[in-house]
Amino acid sequence: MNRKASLLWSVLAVITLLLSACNGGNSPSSSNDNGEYNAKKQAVELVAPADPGSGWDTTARAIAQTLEKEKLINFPLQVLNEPGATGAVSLSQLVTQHKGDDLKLSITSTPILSNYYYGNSEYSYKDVTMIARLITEYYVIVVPTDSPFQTLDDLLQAINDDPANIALGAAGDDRLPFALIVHESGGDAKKVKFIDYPNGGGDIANALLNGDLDAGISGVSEFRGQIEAGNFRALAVTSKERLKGSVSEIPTVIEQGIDVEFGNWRAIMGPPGMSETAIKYWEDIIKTTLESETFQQFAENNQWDITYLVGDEFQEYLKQSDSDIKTGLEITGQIE
Amino acid sequence: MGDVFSNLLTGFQNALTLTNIGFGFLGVFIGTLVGVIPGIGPINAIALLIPLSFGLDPVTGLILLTGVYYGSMYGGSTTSILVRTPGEVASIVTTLDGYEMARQGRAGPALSTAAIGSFIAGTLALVGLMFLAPVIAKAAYYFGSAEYFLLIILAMSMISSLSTGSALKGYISVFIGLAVATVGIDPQSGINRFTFGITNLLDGIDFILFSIALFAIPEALSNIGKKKLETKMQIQKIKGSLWMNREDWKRSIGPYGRGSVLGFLIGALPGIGPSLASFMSYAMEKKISKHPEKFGKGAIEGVSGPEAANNAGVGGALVPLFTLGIPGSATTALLLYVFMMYGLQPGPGMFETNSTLIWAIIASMYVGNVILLLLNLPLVGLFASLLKIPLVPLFVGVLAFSVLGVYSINFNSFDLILLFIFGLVGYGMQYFNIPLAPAVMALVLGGLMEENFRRTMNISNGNIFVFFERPVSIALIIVIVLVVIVPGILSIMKKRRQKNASAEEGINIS
Repeated sequence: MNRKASLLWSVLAVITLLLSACNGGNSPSSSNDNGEYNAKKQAVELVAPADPGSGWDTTARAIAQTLEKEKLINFPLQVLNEPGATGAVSLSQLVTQHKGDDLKLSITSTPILSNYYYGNSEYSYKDVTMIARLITEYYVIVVPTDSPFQTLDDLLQAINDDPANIALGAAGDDRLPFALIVHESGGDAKKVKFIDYPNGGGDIANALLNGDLDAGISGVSEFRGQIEAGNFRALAVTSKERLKGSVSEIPTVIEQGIDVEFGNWRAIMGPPGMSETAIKYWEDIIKTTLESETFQQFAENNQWDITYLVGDEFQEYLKQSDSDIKTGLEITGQIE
Repeated sequence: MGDVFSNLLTGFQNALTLTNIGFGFLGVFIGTLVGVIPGIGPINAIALLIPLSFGLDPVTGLILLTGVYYGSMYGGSTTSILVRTPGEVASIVTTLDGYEMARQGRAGPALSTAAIGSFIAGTLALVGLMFLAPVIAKAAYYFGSAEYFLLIILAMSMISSLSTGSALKGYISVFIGLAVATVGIDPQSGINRFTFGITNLLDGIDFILFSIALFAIPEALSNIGKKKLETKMQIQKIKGSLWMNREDWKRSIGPYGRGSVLGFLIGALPGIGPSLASFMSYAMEKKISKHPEKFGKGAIEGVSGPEAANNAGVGGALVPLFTLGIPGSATTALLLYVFMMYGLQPGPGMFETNSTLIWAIIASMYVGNVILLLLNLPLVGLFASLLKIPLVPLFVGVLAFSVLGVYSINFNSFDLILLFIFGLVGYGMQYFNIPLAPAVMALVLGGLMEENFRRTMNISNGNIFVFFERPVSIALIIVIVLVVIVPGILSIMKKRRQKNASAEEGINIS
């Protein structure tokens, strides 16, 4: 390499270093001696560990939007997308590069638990500061309107008779609630023919319409439009009680005699070693946020249940959720 | 029909308020800028503007955000043509002939035809969206994973059109792309492939990163690294008019029309359309051209067609969004989310339930396309004059923007390491005259091809005859046979005949 080219490479190396410094080298402290959170009014980053438009991103933006509209904070807050490996890339950065940083928050949900069991992440919920549970979204099982299956039982029966005959669309971990239902009704969840659609609801809806799939499972908000338009028939929702609004006619799984309730919760977390001041501050602010009219409207539009939970109860809940996920992965044969 | 016109008229009434024109202008302007900067795509810009848009009413907010989306398609070609740096997947093929044109001093006509083609196709696609949306949306029902797979096979068979010269080197390039496509987690089985335990590799290699690494970095290095000192201040020449001459027009009209139709139809296929539209158009233009040998050496058709196709693709991508509520790409998924945040229920029948809003957006897109044309034609001169910057500082700037652009995809410094590694791979490929575009296209298509094949096999329980069961798949197989196998046989027969002829001649001489 001649001199000019090597000069160029060193310029690039410097740029790279500068950029990684911006990324990793935040000053961790932000609570001053009075115990006031972020007294210097520095910018806070709220990470959505996925692409814009995804569920995590939607949640992060709804929170940021509410904070701004209701003027709940007096410092800037910025939503940042850090997509990669269903959150595992962002999680690893949070744990290794932001220890004790009170100005970094992130949205998270069940993949933080399953990624660990898959072996895709070294870290799990115990390696970060889980601050509060925000919302829960429930699943709905649908078939195309011209399908012979009228009830969940019809579908389960058909799967039991000939599992190779029924193609069921699900994105990643969304297969877990269905696996639990099959398992609970006495079937073999390992035999269910799950077809994976990594991009989620839209692609599954398309595959149900073009005849590839016999049934699908996804978050209620993903299929609600198609259900309302009469293209899909909803067989069951995975909530404890029936949902409100236009989807109130869909029976729950429990109503149909199978004792499975499964919600996809979303939570807000901080890096490991977050200060008590910061945790307390965000617990309170999040509570006010979720209670505000602005957020309630967001929740209604997206079919989210607001399920605020903090402290020991939240830790207890996480423990339960963690063990449910592990069971789900075991009965589907995804982990040993 | 009458309905369409009265709806459109109401749409124009809503779109032509001062506020809406203003925000429409802002949207397409930001879109153009975003398109010009490599790496930063419309999706990032829309995400940034969402908070602002919620302060506006739904009509104004959505006019702003859709403006960014189609505006970015105009800008995308600029860096492809000037410095061989594709800003997004849609403008990868534009590097082939666009950059060649620029090197021959014809950057002006290349930029002009991109802008004019974008305008014509953008407008035609809107007409298609208005009249054909329900029909096209129904057609999507006939495209299952088997049909997607066959369509991708058809596209793969056209990859060779991206290279000139040695077929062997073309294949090497394709295999490099396919090899890179296998990196990452396999969603169906959850097994990690070639990730070497690195979390950052679980999602595979981003094709924007890969294309910037392959195109921009080697070109910059070879320009900067030229031996003679004089080249340091050398500039690229600009010959002739900045505008298209009569012959350019004559050669571009056909590609505009074909690119518009093809782009619109392919763009309407959820999931795979937007990345295929411009590439398929390029392949088609080369196939039907009387002078296929000129492609890759500065043929204007190789810019006009694909640039028309990618803009028509935007109109196409809005078809499943508006009629079925199904997003066909990451960007339309984000738009869908914005609809929901405004409390609008996307889904089938959005045309009826949110009729006022949808028609206002469509009307604003007609206006936006005109604004984009008026905005981009004067910019042709400005952008072309960027080439007056001496090569060394110009390409140092390109490198800096590439680094920034790639960093902004995921805000992850690991991506920069990948950028330089693949930059070196690209440098090596360029050194050995291995074409670059087939590798990038193979990366884009390889993942999709595997995904859809696996899905088809899974659904049919491994029955390979599933490809012969539905009318669309049979039609696609026939097309593949006609496009791939028949020309192959013909050329073999031709060679044999020539051989026989020369053999006979040989006899005669003796």
